[in-house]
Amino acid sequence: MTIDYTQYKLWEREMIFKDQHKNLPQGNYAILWEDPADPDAPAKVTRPSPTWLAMAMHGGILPPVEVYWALREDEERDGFIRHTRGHLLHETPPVPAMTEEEAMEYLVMKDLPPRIWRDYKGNRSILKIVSVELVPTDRVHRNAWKIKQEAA
Amino acid sequence: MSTINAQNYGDGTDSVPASAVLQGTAKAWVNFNGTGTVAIRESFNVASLTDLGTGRYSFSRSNAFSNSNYSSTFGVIRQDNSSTESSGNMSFQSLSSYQASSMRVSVYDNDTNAYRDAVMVNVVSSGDLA
Repeated sequence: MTIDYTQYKLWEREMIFKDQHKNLPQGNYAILWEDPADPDAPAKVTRPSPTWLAMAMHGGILPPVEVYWALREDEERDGFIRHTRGHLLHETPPVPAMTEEEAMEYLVMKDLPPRIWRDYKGNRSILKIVSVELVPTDRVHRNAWKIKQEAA
Repeated sequence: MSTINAQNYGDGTDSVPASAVLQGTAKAWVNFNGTGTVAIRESFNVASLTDLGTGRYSFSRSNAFSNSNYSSTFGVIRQDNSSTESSGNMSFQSLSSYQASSMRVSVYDNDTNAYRDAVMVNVVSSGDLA
């Protein structure tokens, strides 16, 4: 049976999707990033939830990333009390299936501040999507992690 | 006594699969490994997890809460196979970034007065979704 997720709200879609898909695997990629607004902070590592990634790769569930930008804009506005455009999450036609790489790019634009992926004009590499195997598992000196810069 | 069988339950506006009614569910929850390369074991309404440094994490929602006044509870286990270290003298701190679409949690070890990675961090949130 093919489910038409558009007839459900976004959170209902995830509930239905989880009900239909068990034991989802971890993704193969991680996002490494540094925040130019906080140069002394260590590099950050962002990974998608297995459920979210599977929904992105399934297609027909997640809204366009622009919907999240609209909500972020509302949330960051002075005097924000509550979302009044939440309906965009549920009513905007969802995006089609993505590859895992495309899903990671979507996640960058959804969850990282625009100053990281859109506005940064400096010389350092502050954003990389890498294979999970390349992320150190030894957390010694974790608070001093920086993204390795390519040789000039 | 008769039994009603249905795949989904709804009120004409919202609907949920039968498992949500029979098993119950929170509006958002996550169980993640905060050691090594951080990873979400399983979750609902959580899009991503970010490792911000030792013992500090943030995660984003798939479906934002309608405001930042939702309620969350936390639990933590420090190490694998260590009943003596479960939760123990740990606390959650730095919830300053408590936003409708994301939240930040920190695991703090009161014995060493330092942030500390935890092998299992659980966060459950309830409230109105956008």
